[in-house]
Amino acid sequence: MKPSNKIAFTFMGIVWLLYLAPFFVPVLNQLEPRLFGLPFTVWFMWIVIVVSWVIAIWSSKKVWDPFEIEESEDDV
Amino acid sequence: MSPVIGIFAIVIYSVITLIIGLGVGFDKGTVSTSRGYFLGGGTQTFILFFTTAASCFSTWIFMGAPGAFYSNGVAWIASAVWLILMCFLMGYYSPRFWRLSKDHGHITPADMLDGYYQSKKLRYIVAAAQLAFTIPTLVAQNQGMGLAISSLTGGTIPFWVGALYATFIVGLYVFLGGFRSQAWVDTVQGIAFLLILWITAIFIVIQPEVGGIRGLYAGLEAYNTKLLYWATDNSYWNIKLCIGFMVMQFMGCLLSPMCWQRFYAAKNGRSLTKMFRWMGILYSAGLMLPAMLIGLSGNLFNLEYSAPDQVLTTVVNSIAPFWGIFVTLAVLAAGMSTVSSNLISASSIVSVDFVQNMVRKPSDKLVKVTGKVAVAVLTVISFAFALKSTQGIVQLLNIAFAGYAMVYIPLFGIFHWKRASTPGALCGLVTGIVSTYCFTFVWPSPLGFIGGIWGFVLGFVVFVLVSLVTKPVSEEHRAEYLAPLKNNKVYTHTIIK
Repeated sequence: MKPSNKIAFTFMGIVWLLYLAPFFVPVLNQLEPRLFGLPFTVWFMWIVIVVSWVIAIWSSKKVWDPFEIEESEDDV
Repeated sequence: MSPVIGIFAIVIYSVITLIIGLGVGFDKGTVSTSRGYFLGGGTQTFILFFTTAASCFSTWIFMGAPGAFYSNGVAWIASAVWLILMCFLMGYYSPRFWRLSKDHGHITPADMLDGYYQSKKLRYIVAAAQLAFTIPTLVAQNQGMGLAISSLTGGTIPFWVGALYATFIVGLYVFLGGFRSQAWVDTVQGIAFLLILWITAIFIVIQPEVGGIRGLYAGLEAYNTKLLYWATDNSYWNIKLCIGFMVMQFMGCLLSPMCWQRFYAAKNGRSLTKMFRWMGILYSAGLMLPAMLIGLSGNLFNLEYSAPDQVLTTVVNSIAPFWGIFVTLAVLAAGMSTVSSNLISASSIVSVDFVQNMVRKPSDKLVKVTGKVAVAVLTVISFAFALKSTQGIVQLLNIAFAGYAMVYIPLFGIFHWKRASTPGALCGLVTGIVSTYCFTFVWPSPLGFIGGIWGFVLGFVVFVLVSLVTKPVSEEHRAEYLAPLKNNKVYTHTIIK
């Protein structure tokens, strides 16, 4: 059975909250720890972005319905 | 740099554009029908991918985006996140749009709303609003193209000649080749400006003033550490503005006529789901990442910028004037791709939503011919306004995306709320647009939220309230209209063999 759109939207909603979190959670709005010279504020957000890519790829393969047309002889 | 080199580059570029648009991209059979002229003949994933990307990204990606990162720092990564969210929504909605268009023969966005709500009034309001917001976009891009040509030739070609020339080239291939030609040109232009943006970003970041990625962030910490932090409520780029921009930008882009019609234009639904699988990656990593590197790096050069959106051109002109030719051509390409998409969309609105619905027994030939005439007329109008922008044009441009986003109010009823009624859709949409205007220009941003958010909320409230006290769209009509989404068999009347 296909995973529902609700699950995909819930995941994306979580990503949205993660994106907004540094506005409210001071620990997410700091420069340490650094990763390869990147401040935490930057690499944390790129991780959020990569997670959203994964959700989009998964959704396109498993969730989004392409509504393909199936033509049958009776219809023609 | 000699103006002759600039003129030579523009001529070469124009010839290549016309060869692609009127040679490779032109198909006589496709443009012989109105649907083919406005939507092509079933666009393949690769072309659809790049024409959508190039259309969505205007000269803004070379000017506004680096300028915003330059001014607001890393928190502006918001733009990458909202682009991914937008692609996610597109992946969900676009196959639905495509399937309904395929079965019901929709060409314009208002076709879908009229098809479901069976209201000519709603059609005309949606069409008029979309036209009113599209023309200012054309004007702004024409101005950008005129400035690009003028700066490329060191002012030898004045702004108005540059704008006239670029507008004429775009108008020519759109007029003759319709959607298919402009989609092919968009694809080449999209690939070109993506490459130029990345090469420019890498070139800027490896400069001694920046010192690579590590040097960039170390330099920013020393220069202005605030640029590396998320904003506070006192900053310009605070959470309210962030939410407002995010919602309006992704809803506005999703529901802009040029994007909406690309969903109709797809070869099949699977090509759309495949396209939006990768589109978010292209938008965030492919386009926003280089814009971010360029904008942030701009702080580390000891240069004076006349405005934040001049960061890229000023830096390139100081470190590699020759590369400036390519950057300016890329700005021109970005402008042309947006103009051409808007032009074909606006002409279809004039032709299908107004002429076809006002004339008794309109022939397909009449619809196509009026579409071509509309392309020519809109080209002239947008050029004329580009020479002298009025305050009204600037105001409409400022709320264009929010205006497009308001169409989501009636659209919500089609896909998610069967209690929605035609009067509810009408009142909700009008309330949304009027509120957006009022809370942007008359009483700007109450409680810190931009006008579009107020328009969206108030529009939805009115939509729900009016729908609850009026008769909803009949169950039979709703079931018949949405039948293609329930079973995947095509209606018999659409198959012609």
